[in-house]
Amino acid sequence: MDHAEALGLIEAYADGELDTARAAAFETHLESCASCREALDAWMAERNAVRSALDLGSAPQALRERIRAATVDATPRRRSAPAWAMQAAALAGVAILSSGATFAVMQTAHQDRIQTLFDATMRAEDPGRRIEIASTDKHTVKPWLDQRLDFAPPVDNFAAQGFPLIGGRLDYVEGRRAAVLVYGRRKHFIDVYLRPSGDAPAPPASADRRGFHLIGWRHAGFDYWAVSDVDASELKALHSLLDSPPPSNASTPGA
Amino acid sequence: MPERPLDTSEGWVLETRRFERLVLPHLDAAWRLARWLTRNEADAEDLVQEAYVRAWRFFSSLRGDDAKPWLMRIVRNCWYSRARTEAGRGRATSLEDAEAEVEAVLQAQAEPDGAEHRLIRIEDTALVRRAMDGLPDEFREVLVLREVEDMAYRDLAETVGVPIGTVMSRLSRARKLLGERVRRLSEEAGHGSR
Repeated sequence: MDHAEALGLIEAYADGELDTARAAAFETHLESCASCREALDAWMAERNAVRSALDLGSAPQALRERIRAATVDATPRRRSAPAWAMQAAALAGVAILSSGATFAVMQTAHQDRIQTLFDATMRAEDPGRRIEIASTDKHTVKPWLDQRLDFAPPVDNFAAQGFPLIGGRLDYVEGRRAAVLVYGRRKHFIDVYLRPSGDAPAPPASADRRGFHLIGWRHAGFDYWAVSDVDASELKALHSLLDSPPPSNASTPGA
Repeated sequence: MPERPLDTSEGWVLETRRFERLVLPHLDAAWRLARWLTRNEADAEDLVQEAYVRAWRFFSSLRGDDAKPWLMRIVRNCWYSRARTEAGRGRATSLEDAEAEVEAVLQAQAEPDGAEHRLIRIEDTALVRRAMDGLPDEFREVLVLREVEDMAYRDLAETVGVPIGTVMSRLSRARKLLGERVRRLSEEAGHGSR
């Protein structure tokens, strides 16, 4: 390493950002170059002076207490739809105005439902909202849901396939109560919304919002929607499992 | 519909503990950044509180266990969305003007008979703070995050939302301009150069 190159690397070296090989080459040059040693010393002294001037110490104790009260000590509450959801709804509205009337009505219902599902999943991001019955045991989750619904959703745990059941909750899709099964996928959650198929045809759906994916399908008398920030391909894998659970997992054998 | 067992559910308790363990310990760092962005204590406190409420609400968007870059990003994003609506940036040089000023400094230093570079010293604290207040937001944030918070270039890039190369050149220019402004303030104050 020559002198000019070493001079140009002082800043990155002092910040600890050179890779091992370059740092070693720099240090080798340093041993033989008094002017670079002096420049590095000066640089470090200046940095220390700046650091001590800019370090304003700790946050006030009163702020610490206010922040605890506003976060971990607060009671969770429902929040309104996020601004992006409003914007998405407005954009969807604009798109619909420009298309044919019948199609528009169908599309609107379809878009509304998708929006509802994204909203519900976003709401579930609030701490404590996602899971009302926390259990990996389908024999705990299923009765909890059955008691609160006028239908009996199939519940399975796919832990062996990498989609462990974590729990469930109740939510609403277009004003009707739906079961939500919550699955884990590495550090992410997947919300699976379930309700009995209505009379209206449920178009197969897939949509994306802000890093969240949704897929919808109909199977064995139920409409399913899986919503999550995991990869869309992982949602499809869970879809396959839900449609044909491996025999050892099946909630109602033979059904 | 049955009452939701929100505040006693297992998930709620676990999330709360995780937030306490990962996010609350960075309160001092959040405050120092906010203090330099807003340039006063009252606004800094408001900004930190706003940022923490957001962090709490969107806690599930944290990936991994290192919450510092994530939290710092929320703080600075809150500041930028505020600064757009309020005339809070009036006292600082714009990034454009600052870049031009750095260019001029670099040219002057490149000349053989250019003025000798006066180094910032530990007794310059008051001057450094005054000079810092006049730097653009984009310079102040990288300076405080690197010099005080010791954040790596990679984490700075994540926090500020620019490529690593941009972080490096911005940080370098911010340091140059801070040095130049301190030198100028020092001359104005009659301390003279070394």
